[in-house]
Amino acid sequence: MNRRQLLLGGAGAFAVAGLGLWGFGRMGLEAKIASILRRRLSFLTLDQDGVRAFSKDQATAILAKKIPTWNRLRYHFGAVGPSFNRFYRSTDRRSRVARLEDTLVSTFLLSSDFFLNGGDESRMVKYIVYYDPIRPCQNPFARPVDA
Amino acid sequence: MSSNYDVIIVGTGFAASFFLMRYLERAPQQNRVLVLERGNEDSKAWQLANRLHTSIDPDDLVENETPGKEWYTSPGFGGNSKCWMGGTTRMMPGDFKLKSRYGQGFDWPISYEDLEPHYGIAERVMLVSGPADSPMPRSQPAPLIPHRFSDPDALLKAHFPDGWYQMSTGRASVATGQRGVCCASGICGLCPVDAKFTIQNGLADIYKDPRVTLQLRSEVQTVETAGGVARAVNYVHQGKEQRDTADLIVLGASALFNPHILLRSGFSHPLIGRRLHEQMPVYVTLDLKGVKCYNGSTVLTGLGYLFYEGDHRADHAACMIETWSSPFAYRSQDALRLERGRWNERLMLGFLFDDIPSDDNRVTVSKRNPSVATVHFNDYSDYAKKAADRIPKMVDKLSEALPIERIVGTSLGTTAAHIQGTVVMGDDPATSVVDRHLVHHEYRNLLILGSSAYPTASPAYPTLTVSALSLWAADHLLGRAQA
Repeated sequence: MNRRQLLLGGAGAFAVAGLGLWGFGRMGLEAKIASILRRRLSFLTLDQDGVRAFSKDQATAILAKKIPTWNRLRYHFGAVGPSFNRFYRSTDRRSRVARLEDTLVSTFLLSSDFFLNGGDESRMVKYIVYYDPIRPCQNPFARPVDA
Repeated sequence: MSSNYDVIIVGTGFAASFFLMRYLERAPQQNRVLVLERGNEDSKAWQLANRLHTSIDPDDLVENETPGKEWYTSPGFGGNSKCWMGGTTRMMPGDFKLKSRYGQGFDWPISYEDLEPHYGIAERVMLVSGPADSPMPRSQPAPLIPHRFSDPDALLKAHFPDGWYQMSTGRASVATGQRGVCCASGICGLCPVDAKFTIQNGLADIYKDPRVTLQLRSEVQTVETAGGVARAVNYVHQGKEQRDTADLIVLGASALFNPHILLRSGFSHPLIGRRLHEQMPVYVTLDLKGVKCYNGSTVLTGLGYLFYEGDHRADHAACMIETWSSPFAYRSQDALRLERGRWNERLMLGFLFDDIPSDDNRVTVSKRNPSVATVHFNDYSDYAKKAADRIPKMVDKLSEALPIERIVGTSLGTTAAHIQGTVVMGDDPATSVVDRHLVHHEYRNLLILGSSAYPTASPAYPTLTVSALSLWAADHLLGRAQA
C-alpha cells in the first residue's frame, strides 16, 4: 500500500465513521425527542407516526441552526462567566433540562392539531407542521379586538 | 469633492425620521438635506426571507465589555424601528422631576406638559392603539381603539381600575391601510404581518422628498468643528472617505453611536458617553387557577401602574408591569403549562424598573477598531435593585385580583432592549452636553437627538418620547429660524 492509498483509505474510513456517528447521533436525538414527548404527554393519545415525524423535523431544526459568529460565541463564552451571573439571576426551581423539555413539548403541541381541536384531551393528537412563529397568526389562544 | 447642504442628518431611525418629517413640513422647497445611514435598506421581504432584521451583524459594530448585559440595535434604514416591539407608553409627569420631587437621580430640563402636544402628534403618525382612559393627562385620545385584554388583564382592571390599562402600542389593533393588524404572533422583531409601525411602512415617503438625498452604507466618522460651529461631516461611503458641509448638523444615530461619533470627533465634555442606562427588566412567571392567559389580541396586552408614581420613589424605583400574551418561549420562558386542562393557565409579567444612571456605565471608542463602540456596564443602581427586591410584595398585591397558585420563577432579563443616556440634556453646560432643545451647549448648529439625551430612565418604553423629543427639537429650531 502506497502513501496515496493509505491517505485515501484513511480519509474514507474517517468519512464512514463520521457518517456513522452522525447517523447514530441523529437517530439517537430523534429517539430522545420522541421519548420525551411520550413521557411528558402520557395522558394524551398521540399519533405515533406524527411523533416520529415531529421528532425528525425537530432534530433537523436543531442541527440546522447556524454556526454562531465569533461575536456570538464570545457572548456565549462570556455568558458563563461572572458577568453573566451578575446580570442573569433566576429563581426558577426547575432544572435547565426540565425547561428545555417544556419548550420541546410546547413546540410539539403548537405544531399539532391539539389546540385547533379546542384542546380536547380525549382526541388523538396529530402532528400537522413544524411550528414556525414567522408563519402569521399562529397563536392558538389569541382573540381579535372587539371592534 | 465636498458638497454643501442646509442640513446633514445622521441616522434614519425614530429620532432622525421624526425630526426630518417635521423639518420638511416647514423648510423651504429649495433646501437640501443629506441623510447618512450606516446600513442597508433591508426590505421587509428580505428580513422575513433571511429571518434577520438587519443585514449588518450588530455585534460587528459594538464591543461589549460586559457581554452578559445585552444591547439590541438594528443598523440599516429605519434603525431600531425594524426590531422594536412597538411599545408606545408616555412617560409619567413625575419621571421628569425625579430629583426635585423625590430627591433621586436627575431632573429633566423639560416637563411632561412641554412634551404633551408632541406625544399626541407622534401617536397620530404611528397610529398608536391605546386605551380611552389613561394614567397620565392627555389632550387627545389614542388614534386607534385599544387591543383586547387577556383574561388576567380584565381581572386586574376590574380590581384596580386606576392601576391597570390596555397597552399603548404601535402594533395596529385594526386595519389602517398602512400595515397589517397584530394577531399576537409573538415575534415582533420580525413581525410576519408587518403590524407594528416602522419607518419603512410609516415614514418612508419623507425620504422620497426631492429635497432629501438618502445615502446608505455611509459610516459617519467625525463631525468637524471650527470657530464655535459644526462645519462638516466626515464619513466613509463604499470604502471612500468623503466630507460634506452643512449649516445644520443633526446626529440621530442612537445612544450607542451618537457619543461614539462625538468622541471620535474629539469632543471633550466629561459626560459624553457616560450614564448609559436602561430599565432593569425582571420577568415573573405565575401559575393561575382557572384563568386562561395569552388570549388578548397582541403580544403585550396590559400595563400596570400600581407601583409607578408615588412617594416610594424617594426610596426605591418606580415599576411598570407588562402582561405578556405570547404562548411560546418568549424571553426564554416556556409559556405553556404542561398539565391536563391547564395549558394556558400561566401568566408571564415583565416588571420594568427605572434605573439611576451611573457615570461608570459608558460608551467609548474601541482601541482595537475606532469604527466600533465599546460598551461597558457595571451594574444597575441599588435604587433599582431595591425595588426589584419588592417583587414578592407586588405579586401579593396582584393576588388580590388574580388566583395565583405559585410563582414559577423570576429572572432578571439580560436587556430591556432600550439604550439611553450618554449625551445627556440639561440647562447647565457643566452637567449636560445638550440643552433642553437637544442643541449642543457649545456648538449651536449641532443637534443630538434620541434617547442619548435622557437624564434618567423612567420605567416607560422610550420610543414615543424619542419621537416626541425630535418634534419638540424641530419645532424649537424652526420657530427660532422663522423668528
